[in-house]
Amino acid sequence: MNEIERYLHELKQELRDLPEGVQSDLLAEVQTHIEDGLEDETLVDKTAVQHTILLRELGSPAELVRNLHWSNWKRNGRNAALAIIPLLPLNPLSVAIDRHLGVAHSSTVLSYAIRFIVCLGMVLLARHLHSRLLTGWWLSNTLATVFFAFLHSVSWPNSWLPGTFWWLSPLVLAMLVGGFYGRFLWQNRHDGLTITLTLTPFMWQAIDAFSIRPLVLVPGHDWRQFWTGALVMNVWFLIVLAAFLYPGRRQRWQILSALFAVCTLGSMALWLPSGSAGIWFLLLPILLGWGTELAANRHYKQSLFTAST
Amino acid sequence: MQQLKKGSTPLMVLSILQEEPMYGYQIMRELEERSQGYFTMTAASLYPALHKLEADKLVTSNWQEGDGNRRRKYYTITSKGKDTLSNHAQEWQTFTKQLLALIPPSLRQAKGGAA
Repeated sequence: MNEIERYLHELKQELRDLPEGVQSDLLAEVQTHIEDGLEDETLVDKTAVQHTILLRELGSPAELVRNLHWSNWKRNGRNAALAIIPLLPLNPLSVAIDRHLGVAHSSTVLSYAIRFIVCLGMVLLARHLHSRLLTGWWLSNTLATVFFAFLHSVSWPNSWLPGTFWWLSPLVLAMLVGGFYGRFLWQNRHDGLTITLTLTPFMWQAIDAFSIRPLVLVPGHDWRQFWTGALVMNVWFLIVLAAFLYPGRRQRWQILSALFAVCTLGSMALWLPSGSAGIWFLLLPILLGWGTELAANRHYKQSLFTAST
Repeated sequence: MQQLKKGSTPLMVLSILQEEPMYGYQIMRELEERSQGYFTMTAASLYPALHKLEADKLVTSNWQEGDGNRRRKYYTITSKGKDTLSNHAQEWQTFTKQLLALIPPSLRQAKGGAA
């Protein structure tokens, strides 16, 4: 791979978070730019020196994409808002429904039904806006919703008896959404941040379902644990916000590291005191994301960590 | 000075495009030639700037076959772009005029002489 090919490959990597149309357009444009430069007789000759001059004139791929993101700040801001804002009222709404109706089957169904409709609506909106990261995020939230609805709807193991089939609907939905989600992950298998980011809604749903909501309903509950859960979730939302606002390649590593730190500390703070360490498996998506990023960028690790982006 | 140059990128690009539709590489060379090498722009600044101008509807673009059957993306200034250019040009003229008025004539001459 020569320097020009390397440049184009690196640019392709950097452009991943932009809409497909913009990606292909810009790649074709830069490719033509390079061809024009190589044929330009005013630029010395067709030697390595010319390649160097041309590459210097191009500027780094990271710089190009950063400038593009800055000029697309409205789009990034909109995506960040659409990733977080619809989630904010969902948890308080679930708590309010539980308080109003009591912890009953009807309240659980209602909570999850509202959540499902919001998430599915956002998937459709994200697809309409051609935002890959946003689509993945909401698709994953939809799947996490039906998965936890299924977990909540089954009183293990008694409900697995014939005749108690009401839990089948979330199961069928989970399989259906899971199929779409699996296809999405396969399409983005070289993109660690997307994989991690879209797997983490399971974590926050777990915090909500098993830590925050049950706590509120227990008289004389420990508010420290409630606030710890709320803090973890909010810090997490801030990291997700950053991922949508600054989707550059260098930031991907920072975001993955921050997610890892929050998930580790959050798990320690929330679940270890109660003796449950099962939540640690949720760190796997982040490690998977890191591994994917490393594998996808193995040729560029050096420039990644030394470039002044 | 770098920030000033960066801030004037849209004005420079629109000025170049006012005469005829051009593609990215051509804009870069034209800018360099007209400013006798004073203004240079990397592709990393030019293409995002062009995309921004297009998003703001100040230019339009279309792919065309050019020399050697190579497909190039040509940018054309719109009427909104022409109005913006005219306003910006006016603002810059006022800005430079007022700035020069602040600089003592002796310094201006010394700088002019040195150049």
